Parts: sequence; C-alpha cells; structure tokens
Amino acid sequence: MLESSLRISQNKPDQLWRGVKVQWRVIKALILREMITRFGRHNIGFLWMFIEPMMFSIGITVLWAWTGGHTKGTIPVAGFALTGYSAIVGWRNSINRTSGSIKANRALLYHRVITIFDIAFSRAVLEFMAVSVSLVVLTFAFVRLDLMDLPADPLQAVLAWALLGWFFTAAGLVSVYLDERSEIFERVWHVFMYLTLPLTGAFSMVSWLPTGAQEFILYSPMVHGVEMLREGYFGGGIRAEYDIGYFVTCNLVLTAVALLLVRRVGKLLRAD
Amino acid sequence: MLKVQNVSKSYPLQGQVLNVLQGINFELLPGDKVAVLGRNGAGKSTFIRLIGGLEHPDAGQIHSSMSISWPLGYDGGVQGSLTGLDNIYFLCRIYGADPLSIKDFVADFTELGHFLWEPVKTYSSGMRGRLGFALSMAFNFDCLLIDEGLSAGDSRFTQRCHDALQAKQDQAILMVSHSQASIKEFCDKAYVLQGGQLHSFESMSSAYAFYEGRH
Repeated sequence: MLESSLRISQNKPDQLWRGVKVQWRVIKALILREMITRFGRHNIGFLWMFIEPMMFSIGITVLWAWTGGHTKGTIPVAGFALTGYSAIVGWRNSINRTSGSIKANRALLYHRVITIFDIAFSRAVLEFMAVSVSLVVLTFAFVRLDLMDLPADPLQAVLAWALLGWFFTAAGLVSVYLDERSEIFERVWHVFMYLTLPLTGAFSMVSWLPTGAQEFILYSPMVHGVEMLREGYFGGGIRAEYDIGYFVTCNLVLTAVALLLVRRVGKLLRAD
Repeated sequence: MLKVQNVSKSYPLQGQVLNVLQGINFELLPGDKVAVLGRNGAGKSTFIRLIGGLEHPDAGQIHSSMSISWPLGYDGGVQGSLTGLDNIYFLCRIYGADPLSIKDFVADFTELGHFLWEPVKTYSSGMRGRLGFALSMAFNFDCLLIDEGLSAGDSRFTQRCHDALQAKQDQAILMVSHSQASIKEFCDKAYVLQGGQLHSFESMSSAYAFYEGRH
C-alpha cells in the first residue's frame, strides 16, 4: 500500500525523482488542508479566501476613484488601483501569513515526509493563489463595468505577475526564519510593512517621480514587477521603467538566501 | 532491516554541549518487538526521532530497508483543528495511500463513530491515541515507532492493538518508555538507554533488573 519512498536511505540519484514526486504530493495536501482549516466548510467556506483580498482591492479602488488622486495620463484609476493594490496585498499577505506558519503547524513535523520548507512554501503559494484569483476576477469585473479595458498584453501581465509571485514567495520563506529567530520580528513587522509601502511601486509610476527619486526607487525589486505588470495591463502608451534582468537576478538571490535560511529553521526549533 | 551504526547526537544547551547519544549501535529485524527503557531525559525521544528520520545524527549512520511510521505519542501525529476524517484524508494524501479503504479500516478499528466528523481537538486523549494508532496500522508500515507506550487507550483498545499487532508477524515494533506496563504487553526484548549508551540484555527480566537498579 505504501510506496517505498518512505524508506530512509535517500541519497541515491534514482530516488531524486521520487523525492520530487513525494514533495509535490505533500505540498498539494498541505494546501488543501490549509484551505479546510482556515475557511472550513461552513457557509461560503473557502470562497472567503478570494473574497478577502477582493474586498480590499475594491475598497481602495472606490476610494481612489472618488478622490481622483494617484493617477495621471491615460491610465484608468480603477485599473491603477487594482494592479497596485493586488501587488501590495500579495506582498503583505505572503509575509503576514507565511511567517507564523511553522509555529502553527509544528505537530505536522512528526511526519518525516513533511519538511519545514513544505509547510512554509505551501502557505506562501496558497496566499499567492488567493490574490491571483482575486486579481483575475476583478479584472474581468472591472472590464465588464467599463472601468477599464482588457489587458493590452496579457502574456506580459501574466509573466510580470508570476515574477511578483516568485518574489513574494521567496520573501515569505525568509520571514519564516526571521520570525523563528527573534520575537522582535513580530513586533516590528507591521511598522516595517508600512514603511515599505512606497517601495512597492504601487502608488505611482516611476516616470511620475522626480529624477533623483526614480533612480532610488528602482533599487527596489518589486517596483520593476509592478511597472511591468502595468505595462502589460495598459500597453506601451504609458511609460514604464523596469528591467526584467534586474528583477530576476534579485529573485534568484532572494531565493538562494531563503532556501539557506529555511534550512536553519529546523535547528532553531530544536534549540528551544 | 534497520541498522544503526555508531550514532551520536548532541545539542547545544546554554553555551555547553549536551551529549545525548554517544556511539549507539542497534539492529532491528522484521518482526522484532523491542523496547527501549530509559529515565526522563535519557535520550529516548531523541533516539526515536533519529530513527524516524525527523533529525539527523551528528555522526554515524542509520540505514533502513523498512518503511517506518511516525513516532506515535500522546497526540498521535494528528491535527486538532481538523476533523478525524479530514485528518485521515490528509495523511492518506501525504503517504500516498487510498483514502477509501483506509477510512473504513480506521472507522472500524477506532469505533469513533460520529466523532470522526468532529474536530480532533474535541477528542479525549484516549480517542486521539486510538485515531493515531489506527492510522499507522492502516498504512502498513514495516516498523512502528511508539513513544511512551499505548497508555492512552482503555483496556479494550489495548487488547485490540495487541491482537492487531499479533496478526502482523512481520511488523517490527520499536517502543520507548519509562514504564514497564505497556512494554510487557507488546515487546519481547528490551534495551536500556543510560548515560548516552544503549545497553542490551539477554532477557527482559535482566533489562528490568538493570533499569530498576538505576531508578
């Protein structure tokens, strides 16, 4: 009944593929489980997962449309708020929800096939999935309501969003380490979150900023993703400043750091 | 079979190094029913965690051609916020087993009835233990790791476990405990873990005598 993947000696290369299969199975199971635990099977259940971020985006869009701020040129305000706030929610939720994932699920580590990486990664992926569904549904809804047009270059929009997802996930994994490492993290995180808001690039296109500020803000990897996303949504008519190579390089470095740090979380747990 | 060779494990403890296990050698064959006795802090749980693959030794090697269960303890490796059924489905998914037959087996074995639809956090510790044990039996592991005995169940359930384990002659059991009651029930060979060393004995009674002497 059981596959031999449960056996201990794992170092042979032919077992690598089986290891990947097991890990994929475990991550899928963890995502399903998290959906059930968090949203339950009561009333609209895990529809909440998408509605939560959606309500946030809708609220902000209405607010911005009303005040008429934050937009210049040809970009429709609804689309501007939607792309920007989806990115912010993705960034915020990934870290808020992933950082505490190990504390909440220590009992799962009784099962050898479940690793710390699996728990944290599945949580980050689930959060990203939720924000993604919210973004897609609201895009179609806003188009339907004539608030904006369909994305000018869907492929670029998808690619930009995927790169952002990669960034959020890697950052989420780093936050797991920081959270386990120090209690201070939990306390300063929310402040830090507010301070990083301008660096998300959600509130303004880079080209609207003074030259000095442009140079500075382009050091923030996420800005590149958001600029690219907006170009995908609103076409070449807007002036987007981004460098895919820079964003991908930052993601690779962040991922490497994240994987190294996640490996150390196990040691931190046992030192308790 | 399971082979533990020269395994050592230490933990950092307030700037010092605590040597929990120092050069342990141990072998387990299919069908062996073995107990490891030891006082609190003697390293029983560390030993079982190493064999269960939850931690890695500092030195030495562990080889196994058997599939090994998770360490069955008080909480049985199940999740409080999920219902019994959701726990069954979840573990089936991660261990790659067919949920339908497992579900029937567990429902039958645990006699939990409608409690399977309730969150596990509403269970008594005995009920939790039953669920965890039934699940590990359902997955047909070659070797069961049991931490602190099967003290959770009542005598009826203990008898049931006993019968189920008797029926699987090839299944090995490795149990760690500080009490003798459940060990007598399930095991026919005993070791004593003491001072980082694993002492082996010819008979159960000589192991008890040694252990009692150290108590």
